[in-house]
Amino acid sequence: MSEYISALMVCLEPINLLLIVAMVSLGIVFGAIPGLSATLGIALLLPVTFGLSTETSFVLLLAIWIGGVSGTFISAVLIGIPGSSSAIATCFDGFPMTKNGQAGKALGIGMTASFIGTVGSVILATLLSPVIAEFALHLGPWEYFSLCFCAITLVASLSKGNIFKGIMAAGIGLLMGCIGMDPINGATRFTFGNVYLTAGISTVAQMLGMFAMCQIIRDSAKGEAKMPEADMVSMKGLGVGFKDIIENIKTILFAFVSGLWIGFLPGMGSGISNMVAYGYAKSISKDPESFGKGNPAGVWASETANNASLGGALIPMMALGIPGDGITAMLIAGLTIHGLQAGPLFMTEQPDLAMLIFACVLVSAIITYIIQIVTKRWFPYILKVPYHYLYTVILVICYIGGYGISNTMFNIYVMLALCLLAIFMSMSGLPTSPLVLAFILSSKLERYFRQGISYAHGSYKEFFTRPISAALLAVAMFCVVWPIISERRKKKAEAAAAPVQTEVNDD
Amino acid sequence: MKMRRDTKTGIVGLLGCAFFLFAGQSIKQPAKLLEPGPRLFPYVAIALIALSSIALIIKGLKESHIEEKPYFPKGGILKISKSYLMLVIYAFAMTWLGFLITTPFATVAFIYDLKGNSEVKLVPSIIIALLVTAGLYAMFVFGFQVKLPMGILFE
Repeated sequence: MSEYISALMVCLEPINLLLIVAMVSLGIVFGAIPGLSATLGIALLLPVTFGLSTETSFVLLLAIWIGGVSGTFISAVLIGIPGSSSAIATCFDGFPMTKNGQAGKALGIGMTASFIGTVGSVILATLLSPVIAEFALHLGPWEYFSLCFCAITLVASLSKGNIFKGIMAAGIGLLMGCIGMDPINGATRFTFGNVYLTAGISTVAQMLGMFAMCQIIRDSAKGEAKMPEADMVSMKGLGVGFKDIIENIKTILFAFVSGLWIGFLPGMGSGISNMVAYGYAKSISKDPESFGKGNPAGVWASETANNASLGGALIPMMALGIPGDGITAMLIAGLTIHGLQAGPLFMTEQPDLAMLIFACVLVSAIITYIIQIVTKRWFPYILKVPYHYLYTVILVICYIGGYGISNTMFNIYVMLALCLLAIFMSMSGLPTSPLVLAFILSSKLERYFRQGISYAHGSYKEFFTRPISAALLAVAMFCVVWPIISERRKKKAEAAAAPVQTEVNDD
Repeated sequence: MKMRRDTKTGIVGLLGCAFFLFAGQSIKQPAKLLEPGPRLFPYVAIALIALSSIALIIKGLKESHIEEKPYFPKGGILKISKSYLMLVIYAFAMTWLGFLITTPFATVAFIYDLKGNSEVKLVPSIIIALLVTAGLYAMFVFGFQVKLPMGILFE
């Protein structure tokens, strides 16, 4: 408790408070503009943190994360285009509310629901993470390997499209992670005689090249770097009261619990939780027909769930060192830059910093809410920012970031090569999430696997005989096999239905 | 018959696997290890890519009769190639001439490249380019103590 209070005091220092306000505001802008995201914001900020202290770095990164995730509802409500996949369900009722002249109320619900989701989930994450970390300390390399393996397969299997595309992306991530020195013997792999490659591919270069650069030039080529203008509507007051919360309490509670749980599972972040919560809100409503036409419960459900996922994702990241999604993978990369490793040892050896992370998320959520209340009437202006100027500045910052990794041009060329890889992956429909997760976890995965075998004197048996490890491997196998079986079943059902259809048509 | 994107992805994947399999032969495997050694993981990764590439080739061939929407609109490939080339030229120019000289030119070029259908005027773009260069230089060099490239010609 004393560590948490001192962490809270660090966050409330004037300079840190000022940084949080600035970064949360920037995050809201990044979250609100479709095409930009909190992920991109963190990728751009990572190089900035090289010269800063660990505490300040995390204040910056976490504040832009919270602002970015919260801000996604703005464009969803005002122009019907979600700022990211986490606000897709918000569009269903948020935009109709705007068309019905209730933009102020829809934005008020979005703000309040985001606040409830983030604050509630981070409080639970603060309480649960140390308990899980304590338990995780008793696990061996076998369980850790199986956990990392399970996380990667779960993300790969949930990838949009085809399971093989997810596996291929994970394979590319693993291969990229193999470049450089191996984590046990120090043998060099795929360096082709280049000294710079000995240290492996930089996570920052990977994020900047594959997310920022690729996204900008791809969107521009696809003609997606423009959007409809938001109407300047009058918005006075918060738009929601305590009565609205009470009326929708059942929806809010379910959305919160489902968002927290879905966020906890690797690969199932806010992009899924908002849809699940929306579906539930519709199913329990006395008036399901009104959903999609501007029912406030839809916005409550979606926004509470996607923000509750944020705290859910913090738990495995902090307690186990396993990133649940692309953003938490980047936060783990941020820790690595400062010579720290997320996981149970981090919680016990660096409790001050661990608590600072939780405290900073809480303070950022409160400041985000205050900023949103104050600036609500200017939200439509955010969507008027000219893309070509904004994207240009981001591209230049990518180059600065790439150079700043090692003060050489080498990482800029790595960034360009990875940008090309990302364009190819995007054209082929290969998802980036499994790649990022496999790349971040590759060295851990390899170290735990080889350590496990070494400790067992060359035996592989321990992976299957230790109960937790065996259970996790079983889940991983299920994740790979189930999509293939279900696709086959679906095809069989379709094939069986086709002749019946033909017969009906013949009649 | 037009080749589907899945088939093309599979072929590129297999070619990549062949390259890395060949490159993997040079990884030194220490003798008498209790564990599998440094070659195992690269080979596992290559096997995963190879298996999924084969699956994608088969899927692409099976679905070859289904019409596929083009990924980019008309002229999109040319546009992205042009944008990428600009990024590469900027990197090379920065290597030789440094950040301060190249960035204003690159900024104006990027603004025009990314403008789409929006109207952009040259003079405001030049002013913005100079302000962006100066602002970012001051912020990173003086604010965050991050070094920026001086250029080989000026070092």
